[in-house]
Amino acid sequence: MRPDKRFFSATLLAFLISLPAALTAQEEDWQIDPSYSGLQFEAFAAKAEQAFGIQIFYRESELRQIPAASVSMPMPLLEYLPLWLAPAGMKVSFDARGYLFVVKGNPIQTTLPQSIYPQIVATTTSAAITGEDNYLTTSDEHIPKIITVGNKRDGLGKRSLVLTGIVVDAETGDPIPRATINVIELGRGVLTEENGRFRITLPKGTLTAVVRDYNHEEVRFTLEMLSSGEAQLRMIERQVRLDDVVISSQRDNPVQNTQMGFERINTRAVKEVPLVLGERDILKVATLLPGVQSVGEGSGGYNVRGAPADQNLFYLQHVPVYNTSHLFGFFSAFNSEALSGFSLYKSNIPAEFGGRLAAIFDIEAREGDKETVQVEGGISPITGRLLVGTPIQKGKSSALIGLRSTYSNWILGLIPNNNFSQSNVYFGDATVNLTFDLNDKNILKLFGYYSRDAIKFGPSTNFNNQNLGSSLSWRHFFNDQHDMEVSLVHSRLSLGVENNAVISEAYRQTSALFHSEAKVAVTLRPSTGHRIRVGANSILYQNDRGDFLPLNESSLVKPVNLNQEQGLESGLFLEDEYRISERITVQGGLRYNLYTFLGPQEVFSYEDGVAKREDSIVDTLSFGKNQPIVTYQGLDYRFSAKYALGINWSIKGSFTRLHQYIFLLSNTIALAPTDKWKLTDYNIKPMRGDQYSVGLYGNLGQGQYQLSIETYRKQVQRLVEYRDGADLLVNEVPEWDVLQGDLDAYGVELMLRKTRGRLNGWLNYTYSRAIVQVDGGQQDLQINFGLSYPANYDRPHAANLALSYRFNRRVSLSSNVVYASGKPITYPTSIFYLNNVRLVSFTNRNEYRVPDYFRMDISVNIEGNLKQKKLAHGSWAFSIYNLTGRDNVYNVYYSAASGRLQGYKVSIFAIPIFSATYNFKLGNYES
Amino acid sequence: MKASHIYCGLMMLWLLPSCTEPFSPKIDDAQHLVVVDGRLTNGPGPYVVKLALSANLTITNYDPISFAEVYIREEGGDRHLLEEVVAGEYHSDSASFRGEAGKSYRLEITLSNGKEYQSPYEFLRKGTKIDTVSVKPEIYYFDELQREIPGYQFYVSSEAADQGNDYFIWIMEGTYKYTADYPIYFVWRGFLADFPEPYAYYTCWRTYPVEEFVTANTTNLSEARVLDKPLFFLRGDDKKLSFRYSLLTRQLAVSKDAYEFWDGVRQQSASSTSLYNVQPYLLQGNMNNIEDSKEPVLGYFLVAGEEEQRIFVNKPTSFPVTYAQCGLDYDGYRWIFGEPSSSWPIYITIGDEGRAISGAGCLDCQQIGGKLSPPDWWIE
Repeated sequence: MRPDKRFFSATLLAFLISLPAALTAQEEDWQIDPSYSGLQFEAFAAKAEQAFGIQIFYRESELRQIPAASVSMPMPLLEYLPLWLAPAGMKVSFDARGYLFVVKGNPIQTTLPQSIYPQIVATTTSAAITGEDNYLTTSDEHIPKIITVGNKRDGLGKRSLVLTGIVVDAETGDPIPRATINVIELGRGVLTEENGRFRITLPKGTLTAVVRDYNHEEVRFTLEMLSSGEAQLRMIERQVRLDDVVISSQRDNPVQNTQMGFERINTRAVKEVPLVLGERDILKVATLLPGVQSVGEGSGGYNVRGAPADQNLFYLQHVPVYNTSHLFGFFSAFNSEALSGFSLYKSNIPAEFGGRLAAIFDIEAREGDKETVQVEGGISPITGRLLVGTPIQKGKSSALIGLRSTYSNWILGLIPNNNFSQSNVYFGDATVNLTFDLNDKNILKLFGYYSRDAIKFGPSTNFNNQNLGSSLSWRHFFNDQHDMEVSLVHSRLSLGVENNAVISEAYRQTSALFHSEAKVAVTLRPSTGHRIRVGANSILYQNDRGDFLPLNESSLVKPVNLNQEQGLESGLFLEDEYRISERITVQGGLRYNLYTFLGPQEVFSYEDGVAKREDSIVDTLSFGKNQPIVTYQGLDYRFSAKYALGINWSIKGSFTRLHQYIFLLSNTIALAPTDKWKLTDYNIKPMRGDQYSVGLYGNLGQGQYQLSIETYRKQVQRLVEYRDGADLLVNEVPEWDVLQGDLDAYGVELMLRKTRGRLNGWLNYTYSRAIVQVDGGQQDLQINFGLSYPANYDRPHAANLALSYRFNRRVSLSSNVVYASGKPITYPTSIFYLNNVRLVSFTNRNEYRVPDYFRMDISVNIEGNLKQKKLAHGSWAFSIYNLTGRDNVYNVYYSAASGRLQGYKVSIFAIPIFSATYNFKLGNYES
Repeated sequence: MKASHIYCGLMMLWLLPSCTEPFSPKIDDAQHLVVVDGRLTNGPGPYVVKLALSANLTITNYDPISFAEVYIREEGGDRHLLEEVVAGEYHSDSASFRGEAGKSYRLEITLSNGKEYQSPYEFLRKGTKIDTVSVKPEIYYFDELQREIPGYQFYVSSEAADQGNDYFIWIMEGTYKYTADYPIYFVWRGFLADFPEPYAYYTCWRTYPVEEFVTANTTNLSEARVLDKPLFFLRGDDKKLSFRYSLLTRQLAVSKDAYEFWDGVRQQSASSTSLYNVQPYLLQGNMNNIEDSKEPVLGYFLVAGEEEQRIFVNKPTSFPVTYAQCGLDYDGYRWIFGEPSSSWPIYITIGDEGRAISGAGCLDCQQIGGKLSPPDWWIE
């Protein structure tokens, strides 16, 4: 195959002009003056770049010896440069895009300028195309256009070669999922995976690959395929959209795909979100998205589209994380540096996920670099972080280890309160991510996760909570179109609390939830525009509901062993996305769930139609080990369709039905650190949720803005609620306290997003309601007298503004503004006396609301210098959380401590919180 | 920025009490519900049943219900009338009626508007003896006041209860010796007279109900006994600890339902500093409208086996007892001669600047509810 001549002429030759051939009007505007005198080349170039909006490429090493500039009179830049640099043997050339190249030796000729575009040779064992070794890359990066893959020797005798690789953002290095790579000569191509990786078989020879992604400039590469190998394809983020670019079907583009209620956040986006106490928190970004609310400041959990927090499932590299926060919710339990991003599904959840009604947070762990050692770290007032990545076998495998730990007990000592000075806080987490590219067809990943909280609160309470999880996944590529992933997962959540407030009642309570899962998923792409995903998974839950034990010898606590329970949840899924016509794409998914509650267990059966209590038990049934006690089958199904209204607008609709077999036993207003999980059992039935959604999606301003309006209605049946006053701490028979009711949630979400440019961010507004009703007919099967009431997380109005502005490559500013209606609250309505003690009485649940929530945060990120050659790069992040110092109300209570009954409001972050974080990494800004 | 705000900011790090400020949300006036507060024990009477209507949060007046017919009926036996002694307060005749362990009783009420209320029969169980009531000096932080206050923390330990007596309520009564701040030298009763014994109204003993109660349940314990259960915290910032203090603790053995109600209202009314509060709700006791079972009735007819214990504590030595001393009003003295007779007698003391008056209880200790002689059982 011969090189495509048109390609060369279009992209390079026509643009390259040898100086001083001709100066056009524009270039003549690049006038420099005596203010440039005395500058070394680096400073000179920076000044010119800024002044004229151009990019100058040079090798720092070659220009270090050049004397400082001396400009005695105003003159065009392109006239001065040769005068200045020619004596040192430097040549200057530029192209029509405003790129200037300063190189030593031969001037740029009309042949391929190898000295500028170094030919990158990748062998079968080396991956990255890091041709920019000697160039300080810029936001408009200079990208190598010719990639030589492999070497002739390895390619001997082979016809069909395999190119594997990754498409990344040239500036951030973030993988670009769902980019298309089309090989022009072959008329076919591939789509990159979620992690930006791709794999394609190609013939030997020279080929042209066109890589497209919605948010990046289209880029063409010439591939010289010598043997099988790897390549890294870099794309520049699109700054100015070219009119003639055709938007091709890309799954990430909300106008084009069929996915609704979907958000993808990568770590880069997180970089620009203000920090809380110096911690960059990827999951907190989720709360700035429409339809996602934090349960409360200083509380774990998220409410997605009017659903309780236990209806969300967090997968971190296939590992389910049941406790997603540190320190009762102040920080999320994930070290954001060790993550590459997450996908949030809140509407038509893909069929491969089951078991939760509201949302799936699919979090991806970052992989180590297979070529070089990476070291990154940071230090904030609260924590220290360290991330180390290293190749194991160069080009083939890597390890990435992330550690984070608090060292902040010193802050407690500052607080003049016994409760605090007797407190002690420790939390930390660790991730280990190992990736092995076994060969071109197989990738093996091993991932481990650990997080721990050990908190001594006041003199008498200790919490000790841990998450431990690991996953092993194997990805096999049958060919370019079809692949399979098999994963084995094990995770453990263990909770422990000790309390010795009263000697005779001093107790220790422990519980643990084990989740073991096996999953296989096969992706088939029979034709363009047709994608099938099919597979199965099975989860064994082993829920040790825990022991309640005396803490010490003086305690009279009677040891109670709450039973162990087991459940097996299996699913078979099939999802098919098909483009029927240019305008219409449909997607359907089925998931058949089979849930079996397993022995050993003794279960009670009760009279029908009356409250389940000790006195309504009619029979006790005994089951042996692993004996099925009860089986629930459920068919989850979802259907969605997209109808394109031209290139820039589409409407979509979807319906989803899901089932959930595990829930959190919690009747506190916020999630408590002692809340335990409970499996659906003989008496407590699985929850079922239906969601209808319709939306309008558009690209405005030539794709610079994305607009979406989504409405939804969600109905959950058999929502788990609790009888008034239920004590769930040591609850031997949960069904006595559980009442199942209905949740009705609906809302409309408006989102406007600016995706490109120096200023980017989003603005959204959500109107939503979440109403619960529990009315089993008679009084003891009712909550709130059987009347419907707003859920604790019903917050009708919510608006978020997240903006980020890049002044230049070193300084960026970002800010959030968050507004939400106050949470519902049940206020006491009257006073009465009992034995001379003044007491309060309550009536209707959640009849009132606390004052509205408002918060503004701001943060500035300052990168260290952009020198190419340096050992390490540092950056500072300064942030102010709650800039206006508004005392947002967390809770309201009444107390007579001051003599008369007085209401008090509790706020958590009632003042502006300033924090400074220093981050460092080995290498320069780009590395 | 207020100092308290900085404090809030630091506190928020390790949560819980975080930052607390007074706040008065607007709450609609609630419906006034009938409140029944009655107690029958095996101790000596009279047994008291108080009837009232619940009040709005902002108006803390007590709205008693008078002219009701109130009876305690013994299951399979007589009924005993309770007479209204003060408005809304109905007493049994202690000479003719005493509760007996092992029997069951119910409360029957007919209001003047004809509405009838009744409790189910409640079993009077045998009381469990108190082992000890002890006291320790401790320091508590009060969120609402945003400062620490030292004081005495009382604890109770019970003896082991009989099988099935797993539910406890403790109610308390305090008595303390205190003094006025100044002796009385003159008295105005329309004419100014010398006060012959300046210290006659100086020292008092006051008995008051402790406005707290404590609940416990020993079903989770291997033995139905309570060890060092915190009873209440006596703040060291008023006169209660200025000389000597006595605490009478009544330990009540109650039913599970009674415990659940009392424990529920206690928790709902506790000055809650936890961020993890249980959802509050309307707690109903054991009184029901016979005709209309849907009418919510607050309060409880508590039938309990009672045991009691009294302890004395002296003025603490490990922490200072601090309280504001009354100021002297020298100017006010000049105006007493015009005061109406309803405010007589007006007592006058002599301070550094001459004759002066002062606030209630500052000169005459009886004005804050004390008596001039100690109770019979008082031991100095």
